[in-house]
Formats: sequence, structure tokens, C-alpha cells
Amino acid sequence: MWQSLKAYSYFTKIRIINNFAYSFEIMARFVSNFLVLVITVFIWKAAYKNNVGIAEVNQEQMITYSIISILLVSIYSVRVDRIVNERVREGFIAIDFMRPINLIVGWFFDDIGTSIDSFLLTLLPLLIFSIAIIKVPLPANLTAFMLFLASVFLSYLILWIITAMTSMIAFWFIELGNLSFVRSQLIRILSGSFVPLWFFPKVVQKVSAFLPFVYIYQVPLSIYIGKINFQQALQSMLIQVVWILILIFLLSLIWKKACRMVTVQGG
Amino acid sequence: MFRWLKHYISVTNCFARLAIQRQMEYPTFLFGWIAGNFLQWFGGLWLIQTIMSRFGDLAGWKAEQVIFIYSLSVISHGLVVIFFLQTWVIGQMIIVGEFDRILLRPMDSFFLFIVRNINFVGITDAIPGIIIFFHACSLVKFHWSFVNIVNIGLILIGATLIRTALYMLVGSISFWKINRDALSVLMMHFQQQATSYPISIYPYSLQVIFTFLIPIGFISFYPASQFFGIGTILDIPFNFSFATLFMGVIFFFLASYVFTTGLKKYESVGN
Repeated sequence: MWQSLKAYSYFTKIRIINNFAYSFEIMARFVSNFLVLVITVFIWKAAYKNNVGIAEVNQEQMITYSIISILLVSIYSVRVDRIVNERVREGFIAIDFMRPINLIVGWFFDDIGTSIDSFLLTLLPLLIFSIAIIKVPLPANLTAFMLFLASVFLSYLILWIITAMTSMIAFWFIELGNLSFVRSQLIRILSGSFVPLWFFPKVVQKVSAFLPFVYIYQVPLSIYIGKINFQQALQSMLIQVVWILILIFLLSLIWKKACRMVTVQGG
Repeated sequence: MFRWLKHYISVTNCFARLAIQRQMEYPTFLFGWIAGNFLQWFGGLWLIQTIMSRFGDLAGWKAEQVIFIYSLSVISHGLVVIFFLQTWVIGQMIIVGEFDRILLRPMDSFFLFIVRNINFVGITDAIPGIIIFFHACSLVKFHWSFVNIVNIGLILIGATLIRTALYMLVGSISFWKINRDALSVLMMHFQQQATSYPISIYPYSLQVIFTFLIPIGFISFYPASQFFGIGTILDIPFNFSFATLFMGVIFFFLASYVFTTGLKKYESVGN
């Protein structure tokens, strides 16, 4: 157990070192996230100026929500789709299969490396700039913050598995670049990362409760700003766990099929 | 002179034909883009409608007026994707040595760069934009006079040139500092977010920047403000569609100058 964990942690280590070679890209990501954050904050400020009495959350909560949402976007840098796409297209996947490791776990640890880099080089600067220019995004209380951290871990797993699943389809269709695009658009609209779903009609809220997307952004963010109470938070996190189990099951099914389907061009 | 022009036009045609044939090779690829882009633009429309229906208006702009702004933004984005997508990947072109080929040809390098690709797939961006535009027009009871149609045409040309110029300006940085076009992605996210809403929601200083320094206000906000007669920080005596075109041409020339200067400095990678 310890031995294999050590082996997988090399994926993380190598990714961290590799990413540091692209410091310009990381800087650009920081600027990009920051600009989007500023725009989002001003949209909410302008919206709340009308004072139409929004019962769900007040302006301060909504701005905190937006700041934390962007911070999560910055560390949820899942690249497994790109890795799989590249390995399959270039034919490296044949060599990968010979390695005495579980490839999916390896790719997961690879992405953890990117998230660690993003935490240091994107999230922290974003947080500092947000505090300096916009506001201190304080959580509702300490319990909420602890629950938030646990929920973030679960939501990262959901996002990662969904991304990995869609990327497996690369084994059937060699070009999948745009399938990832479809997935990321669905997440953008239905996860509540920009507009939380409580602003949508009731029907949409009911349907989305049965989809995995809200459990990626909206659930941890709602816990953070105190939109949902302790009991509701535990309930939501239980649903997150259930989703993870379902998705892991689906992923292993697809993976088994995909391994048999793999075609290597020119090989 | 005439023969020279004819030669350049025939080269443009040839590039366009090659590009379209190349893209028709993978039909499933096109299908994915249709699904993704329709989801992206109609989803964005849905988000705007949701915010507006809950909050009333945005800095004095009604829902249908914001949708009109958004539609101008989406169409001009689509036009950039069709005609000038290569301005997003200047860094990549440098890394693979693409400019070596362009420089060796007996034609103007900037011209060859600009016409080298027609990205047929970009219509999957433009079509949702056009649909949303007609939807917005019926909501705001847009007056379809000859003058207004010409105005819309000028605005779209100007807006496309402004967007392309901004991509070229950040892309040309790659001539001095090797990078992988991370700034183009940044530019895309920024343009998309900032041109979908009225820029009057920002503080005065930011509005000035979005008007003169990074003139994205002319892409959708200022033209729309004139159609609806909504006051802005900028009070100019002539038609805003000319202003958009004017800014587009000025910034396009500026960007082409920076690009050509960069290309002169360009040293091929590798050997």
C-alpha cells in the first residue's frame, strides 16, 4: 500500500516540476481568472442595486460566492481529458498499458500535481488580490468552513471522474476535443459556478438536483456562505458520496470496455 | 495593378477551398462543435435571462436590450472564429516553424497570414448568434430600415476587426517571448464576458479603459446604446456604427504594424 502510494506520488511530483516550466501560462491563467472575477462582481453589484428584495442571499453573500467560485475554478484544473486524448492520438497508450500500475489512479495523481501548482500560483494570488480590491470573502462560520473543505474534496472527485469518463470515449473516437467542450459547457451552465440555480425556475432546480453538476460547485459554495444549514450540508455531502460511488462504478465499466477497444494508429 | 489584385484574390480563394475541404474530412468533429457551441451560446442567453428576470434591469438596461448586446457580441465572435482564427495561435505557429514557410513565399507575409485559413466550423458560433439577434430584434421591435441594416453591417465589420486586432496584439507578444498562446485564451474569456453586458456597470475608470485603451465597448455596448437612445460616458456627434468601424480599422492597422514589426524580429526556432 505504502509502496504503491509512493509510486503514484511520482506522477504528482513530476507534474509539479513540469508545470513550473510554464510559468508564463500560469500567470496568464491568474490574470484571466481575475478579470472574469472582477466582471462577475460588477454584474452582481449592478443587479443588486435595483433592490428588488432577493430573499435567497444578500449582496455580500453573493459576492463571496463569486470569489470562492473563481478560487475553486482555479484549482479544479482537471487535465485528464487532454492527457488521455494525447496518449491515444500519439499512440503512447500502448506503452502505458505495459506499466505495472493502474493508469487511472496514475492520471489522478498527475492532476493532483496540477492542482497543487494552481493552489500556490493561481489561488493564493487571486485570494490576495480579491481581499485587497474587492472584499475579504469570510465563511459563514468555522463549522461551515470545515464542512466546505470536506465538500470541496468530494466535488473535485465528482468533477474528475466525469472528466475522465468523457475522455475515455477517445478510445472509440480518436478526436474528442469537442466532446470535452460539450461537457465543460454543461458544467458551466448547470453547476451554479456563475449563476446559482436558486435563481432559476423551480422545475430547473428540481431536475438539477438529480444531476451531478450542482454537486461540483453550488453545494460547497452554499455551505461556505451559509445558504444551507448544518443538517442540509451533511445531507448534500451524503448525496455527493453517492454520486462518487455511482460514477466510479460507471468509470470502471467504461474503462474495462475501453481497454479492449483501444486502437493504436500505425502500431 | 489589376493583375496583381487578381493574383491575390485567387490565392485567397485557393486557401479558403483547401481549408474547407480539410475540415469536411472529419464530420463527427463538426457535430461536436455544433452541440458544444449551441449549448454555450443558448446557455449563456439563458443565464442572462435568469439574472434579468430576477433582478429587473442592469444599470438601466432592460433584459431584451442586454440580449441585443449579447447577440452582437456572439455574432462578431463567430466572424472572428471563421475568418481570423489563426490570430489566436501565433505562438503555436512560431513553435512549429510555420512562419518559415510564410516568409519564403513571394507575397506579402501579413496578407498570407490573414488569408491562410477559413475556419468553416466557426459558423456553429455565428448561427446561434444570428438566431439570438433576430430574437432580440423582435423583442426590442427593431426598426428594419435600410439605414439600420447598413449600420448593423458596419458594426459587425468594425467589431470583428476590433476583436481580431486585440488577438493579434496579444499574439504578437510571442515574437518577443516564446509562449503557447495562453494569452489568446485569456483574451477570449475576457472578450466574451465583457462584451455580453453593458459596460456602464463598471466604475468610470474601467469604462474609459474599455473605450479607448481596450476598445471592447465599441463591439456591442456603444452601438446598442445608440439604437436604444441610452446615454453613456461617451458623447460623440456622429453615428456609433462609424465609430465602431473607425476604431476597428485603426486598431487593425495598429495590430498589423506590431505584427509585422514582430515578424521582422522573428528568428526561426531550432535550426
